[in-house]
Amino acid sequence: MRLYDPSEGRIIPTAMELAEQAAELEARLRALEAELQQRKEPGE
Amino acid sequence: MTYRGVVVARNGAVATSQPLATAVGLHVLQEGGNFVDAALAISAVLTVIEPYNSHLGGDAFVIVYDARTRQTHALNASGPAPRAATRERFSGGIPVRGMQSASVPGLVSAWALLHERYATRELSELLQPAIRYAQQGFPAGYRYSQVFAAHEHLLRQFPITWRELVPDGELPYPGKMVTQPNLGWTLTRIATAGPMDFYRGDIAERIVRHCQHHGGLFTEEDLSQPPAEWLEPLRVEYRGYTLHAQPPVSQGHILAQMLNLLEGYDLRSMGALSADAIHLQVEAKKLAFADRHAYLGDPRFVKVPMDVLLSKQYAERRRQQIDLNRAADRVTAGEIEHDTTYFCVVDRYGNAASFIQSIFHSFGCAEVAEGTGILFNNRMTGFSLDPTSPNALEPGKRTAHTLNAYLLTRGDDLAFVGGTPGGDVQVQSNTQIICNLIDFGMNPQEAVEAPRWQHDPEGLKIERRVPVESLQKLERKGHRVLLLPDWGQSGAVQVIAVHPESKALLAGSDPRCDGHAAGW
Repeated sequence: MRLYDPSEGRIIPTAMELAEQAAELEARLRALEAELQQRKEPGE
Repeated sequence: MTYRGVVVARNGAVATSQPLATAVGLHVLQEGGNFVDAALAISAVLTVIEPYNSHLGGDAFVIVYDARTRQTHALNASGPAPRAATRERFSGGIPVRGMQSASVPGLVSAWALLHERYATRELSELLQPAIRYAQQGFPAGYRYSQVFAAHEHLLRQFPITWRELVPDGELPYPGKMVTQPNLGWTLTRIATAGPMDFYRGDIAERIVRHCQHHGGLFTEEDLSQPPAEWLEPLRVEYRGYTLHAQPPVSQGHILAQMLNLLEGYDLRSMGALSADAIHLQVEAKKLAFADRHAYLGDPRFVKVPMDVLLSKQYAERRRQQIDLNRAADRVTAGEIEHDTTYFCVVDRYGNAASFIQSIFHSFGCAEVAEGTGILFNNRMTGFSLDPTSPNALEPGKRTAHTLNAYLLTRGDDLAFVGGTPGGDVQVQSNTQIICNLIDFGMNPQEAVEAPRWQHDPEGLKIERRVPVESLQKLERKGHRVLLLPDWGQSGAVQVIAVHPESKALLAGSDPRCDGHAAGW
């Protein structure tokens, strides 16, 4: 059973789904930070 | 127990989606006007005070009960596609907004036919409240303000619309006075020159001129044939009552088919809001909607096998496909978030009008014709571009229509008048209300306030006031249950019942909108 928001026309994510999304975003952020660091190092 | 009281009256009752419209209708009845006098005054006022729901540039469907003859009649005032609206022109898709998404408006032609057959007051008199609200203003309601705020981005894309509806450039707050002088001019023109001016006179000229400058397809020829026509309602028996529903091109047959299917089950013993009763209603919905997609189109262009679809034998055969314990996987395309308005009137003589009018989506095509205040529908988006579909777009053809209004008689006596906006949810809500009234013995306000569901391809969306035990059972039957807020179903139901003995009128109105019932 899921909650539905008719004003937004979407299924409301569960706390677990939000946590998963947050973890995915954090992992992507870390990967981007690492890539940025790698690009910076040769020129430093 | 209900959230609001039931309105009980003897001399007349009105239920609309907006309290000011209800007041206008009641006033007409108290001044001696009849059901159509009141309906015309309400219909016109609603175009001024709820422009996002219905307008002069939109359509209407009406079912009337004539107490003198004890007969019912259906009025179809949906307009056809303009003559230039070919599938080739729209090969990239039919736009959702802008003048090209508008079909020929039918509402004003409905006024003409209704007035000619039933009215006792001059149209010019009946349009006065609407003219006053347009010219002198009315205070914006809460819902009015919310809807405008939610559609600000859309309205700003159409400068003429923005100027007409938000003349000072500031969104309406609740209580802010709103005037629409150009709409006042159009309504006055209809009042003085007659409704045909909309199709063949000065108003038509302004509409065509606007189309010429803004890419619209209407020509003088398109407008010159007012689309409203009287038809015989669809009729089916349901547990001793006769349902009178809108014939094609309306999808009123879905309501009739759902009731035909449900008649084979003892819903009363299952109980209101029981998982079994809701399951059967949802499964009936799936079957009836599948037939709509297969068969419904403009009967002037395609043969709609209505005799078969509405027969008890066909219902018996289709009922075999319902599994009492398992939700069917097959679902059909659904449409929600459409805006429309429904109202009903019963007068002191027992005449009744079940009236629905719309511009389809909120604010329709979002375009107001310059100098008229008229907002147009986007009903063209109801057509299919698949040439094999019975609902394929053709010039001069009417699209399959979500609008439907109904009434029920017992013998030849009027029993219930009702309806709701809500696109494809309309027939689903209507079925639930009729079951609440007839199977579960609820009074009109109880029937309206009871928790409701709506089904679409995403799942079974159901208000969370339904008992949790029923919700769990529905999941176990295979329904994908999506919980709506307590009052989150998209209908805005109005119902009037006639007491079988005293003939008192019992009116109910939906708290899910600004709805208001009144009587005297």
